[in-house]
Amino acid sequence: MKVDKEKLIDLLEGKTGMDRETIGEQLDELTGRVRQSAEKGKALEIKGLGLFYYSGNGELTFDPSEELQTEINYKYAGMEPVEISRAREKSGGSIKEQAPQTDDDSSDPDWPDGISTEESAVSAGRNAKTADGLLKHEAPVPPVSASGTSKKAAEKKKKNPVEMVVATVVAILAVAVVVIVVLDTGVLDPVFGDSGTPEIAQAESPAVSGGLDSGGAAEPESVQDGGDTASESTGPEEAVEPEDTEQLAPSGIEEVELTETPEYGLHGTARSVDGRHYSIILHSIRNGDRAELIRDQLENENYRAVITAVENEEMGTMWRIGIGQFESVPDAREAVSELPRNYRENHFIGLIQ
Amino acid sequence: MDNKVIKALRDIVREELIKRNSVEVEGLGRFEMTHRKQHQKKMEDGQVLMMPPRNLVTFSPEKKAV
Repeated sequence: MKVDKEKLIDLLEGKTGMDRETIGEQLDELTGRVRQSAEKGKALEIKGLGLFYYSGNGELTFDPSEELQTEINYKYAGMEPVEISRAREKSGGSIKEQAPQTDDDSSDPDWPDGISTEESAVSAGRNAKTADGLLKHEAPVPPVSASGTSKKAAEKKKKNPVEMVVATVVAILAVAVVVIVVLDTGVLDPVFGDSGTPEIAQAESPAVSGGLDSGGAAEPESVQDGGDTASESTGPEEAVEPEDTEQLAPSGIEEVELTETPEYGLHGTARSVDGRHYSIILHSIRNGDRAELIRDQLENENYRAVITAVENEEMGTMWRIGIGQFESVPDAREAVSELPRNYRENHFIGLIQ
Repeated sequence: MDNKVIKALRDIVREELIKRNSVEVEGLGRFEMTHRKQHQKKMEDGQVLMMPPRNLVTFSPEKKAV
């Protein structure tokens, strides 16, 4: 709407209680004074409104007063410029750093997708673990063998379920017998002589019985069937450990943690890193509880999951869930290449403080 | 000149601008409020800032009077 001359006089009339004529005169006087001082090269200030003066090119110019500016910006009071990306220090960071804005905006609508990928990722992770889980004492072995084991797992699935059940029963019985004998006498050899193949199963099952049963069923069988070909890389280690597996299993886990908690890295437990570091942000959502849930899921996948709260004027608090802690953007990028596809394709590298 | 009128004028301009109305003062010009959306501002050192949205007062002087 526009307040023109007539309307302005109406309004002034209502405010001052003066008659229109006087108001008109007063306004003329005012504009005259503004023009006069402006022509003299002076500025005239109307308190609470602003300054009138002639600019360099002879145009009447108005600078609004602080009060007026504050008043019309009351909606945005307290809003400060937000740093999106830092001053140039790590080249290449800037392009990625631009992503958060759009990401934040779109993350909520995207959320259902996020969840589904999340869940599929989790289940995939679990599958991997059933294959890997048994290999806890092998965990320090680099992931190279993981592909081998997953192939094994695939092979296993094709096998007859009856066979698997039989194998499980045999394995469990064998373990029970072995444990009893070991506890009683400590003499192993006669038992091995009797049961033959369970020798290897026995090495694995203690870890198994603590954790995953279905996995336990699968593993010994594969060893029995294809032990010579497929598990050659893993075989020797299993053979080394049979005697005190029960003690080894827990300490083996500890070792894993010890080796995987340097200051920076993709896996392990999140550590407080001095100062700034980077993380691979997979989600940015508004629900803090959900964020913690996702973090737990990621931790279950053995990722170093980090939650950070980011204040966004329009969206409120956004919870960013990232994996890994990295010293630099290139480090984080490198780690991204190791991630499963669904994480690789939808992420950005964010600064954590 | 009556201070009352100046004060009233000031108040009216402020009130109307907040309502997003423009105010035309004969002999001077038109006051308007314009909105500037939030935008990214790139500094010379590579720093990128997200500037918050802002309302601005713009004044267009009356042409004929100049």
